[in-house]
Amino acid sequence: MAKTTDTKTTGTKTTGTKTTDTKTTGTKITNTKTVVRKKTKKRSQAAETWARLKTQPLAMFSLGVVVLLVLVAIFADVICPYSLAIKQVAADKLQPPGTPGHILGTDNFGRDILARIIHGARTALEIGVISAFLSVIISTFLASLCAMIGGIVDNIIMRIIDVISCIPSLVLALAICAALGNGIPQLIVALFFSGLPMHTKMIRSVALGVAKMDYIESSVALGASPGYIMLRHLFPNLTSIIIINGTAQISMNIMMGATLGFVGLGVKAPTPEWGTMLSGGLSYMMRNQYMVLVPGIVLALAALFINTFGDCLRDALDPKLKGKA
Amino acid sequence: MLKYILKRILIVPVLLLFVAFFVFILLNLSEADPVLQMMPAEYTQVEYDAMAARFGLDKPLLVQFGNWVVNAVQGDFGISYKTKGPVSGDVLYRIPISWNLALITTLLMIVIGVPLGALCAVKQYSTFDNITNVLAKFMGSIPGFWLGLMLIQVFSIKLGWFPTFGMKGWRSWVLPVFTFLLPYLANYLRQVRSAMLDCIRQDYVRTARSKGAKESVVIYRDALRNALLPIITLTGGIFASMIGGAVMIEKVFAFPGIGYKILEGINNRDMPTILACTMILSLFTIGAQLVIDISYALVDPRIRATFAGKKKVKKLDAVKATGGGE
Repeated sequence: MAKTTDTKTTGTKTTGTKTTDTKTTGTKITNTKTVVRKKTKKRSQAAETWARLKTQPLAMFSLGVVVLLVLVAIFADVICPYSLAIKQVAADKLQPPGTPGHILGTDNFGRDILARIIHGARTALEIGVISAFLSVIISTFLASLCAMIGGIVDNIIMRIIDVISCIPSLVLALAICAALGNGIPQLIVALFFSGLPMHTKMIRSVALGVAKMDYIESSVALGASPGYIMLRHLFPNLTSIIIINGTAQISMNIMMGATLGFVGLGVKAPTPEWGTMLSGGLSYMMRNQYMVLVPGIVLALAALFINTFGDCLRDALDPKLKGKA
Repeated sequence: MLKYILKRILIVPVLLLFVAFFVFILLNLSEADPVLQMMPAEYTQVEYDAMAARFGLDKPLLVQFGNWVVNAVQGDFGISYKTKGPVSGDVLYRIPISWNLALITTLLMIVIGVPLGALCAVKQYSTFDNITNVLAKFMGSIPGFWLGLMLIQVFSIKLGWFPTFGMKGWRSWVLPVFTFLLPYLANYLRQVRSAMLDCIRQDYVRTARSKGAKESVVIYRDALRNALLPIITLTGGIFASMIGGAVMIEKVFAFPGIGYKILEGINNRDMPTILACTMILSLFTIGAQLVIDISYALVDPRIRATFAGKKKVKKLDAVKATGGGE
């Protein structure tokens, strides 16, 4: 009992109060030291990563493609109005690519395929990025709780994760979509859940290693609270695995979102989405195969370049991993 | 060792129970009323109650779940909302189809992937390695269902070599297996390569070389054998994820497996079917995980030792103590 109160008081001291006490001056010094060290280290790590990335032509090329994709998604409305992507012109049905006014042709409702691809990029990125972001953030939080508190909390969280990870991720996403219905928010929830178990397991194993480090132990000895240690020491040491997992999950979720769209569980009807475009084109494959070809190629290229960039980024963040699959 | 295996096996029903509960609650989050969905356009309250009672939907959720578990243990997965027939009869016969699809693909993946991956690692940064790597990266990014559609377009419709869909003899297996194999093989190859690379850099490989052992013997006996451990984990993990991934392949090729049925169930909002299929697929995953864990323990003497009985540990300690005394 006495021990806990002790840690609490010293904990508050470290975080803020400035009284002229030998103890606090001691912590003050260490604080400034860490700040200085952290600043230089932070700058150098980002700069180092960038320098390593710059030397790889493949990395720069894939980064270029990813940036282009993001720009297209952001400025979709500027490039072509949304109305063009959903406007149905009966007279222009199933035009092949190269038709004047429709560079990539039109679909069975007479909608411009290029416009739908451009606005589909926005849908795909919205779904992929938000769901990947959510699952990585939440799983980092859960994993840190496991690593810092351990014991029963760790046990409960991991057993729940074990149960969820028994269900194949695509099947889980299908079941969630089936229960919640169609729409972008539902899709994000489904993809978030299906990515959660894997990330929690991976990040936890790294976090457990970090939690055993001497600097964490000394921080505990100095009386820092678990929350402070998490923010100050644990999270910075998890950044590289978070970034690596995040980029991998984005391309996986874009693919899975398209897969769900393909089986009719994706977005609601007029919203342009690559997977839905693909399945919509199936019945017209004989008359206009570009309805299937174009979204598939775009999807494959997007996944390929996000993956490639993710691999290069991982190599740059952690050169020890270089050459690993 | 036996104790460890028993422990792992005994945990399976517990896991399944929790998975069933999770999915059951999840599917009941749906706002659509299943009874309403089965009723004709005009009905009376009495008819509604009768229908609800027939499917056990008038009871509280937990009671429904309890009944489902009791029946499922006996192989009865309830009555389909769509066909009004028992779900088991419609689902169970599909298990071997999905199972074989995943199994054939995994075997092919091992037969092709391990030698190729090992070769890539041995000849790291050679032209062969680079080309394989780029190809693997490319293949790994292609959406499986799209690849399937393109293959159907070329090989079934244009060339007419294989049937477009359904189950018509061994020919109908070729395209699905190939479509299924390619993306998984691509990732597998790269992972085998990296596992192998890890082993090639180890000290014992250098020692073997300095002993003057033949290069082929070094690679085969020292490197590949040690790389087997991570490769087993990889293979098991991929097999487990294939079970879920098969859903898309079965959809594209109209292959009458579990995955095809689950999509049908989702389109019909047929909860008993979805639940049954999800449970079977989860059972596959758990089984695959179990086999990985056990084979891992069987293959690696270091892990085996941690599960050895107390007597053995004592013996080992005694050996160590005498060894240290020398």
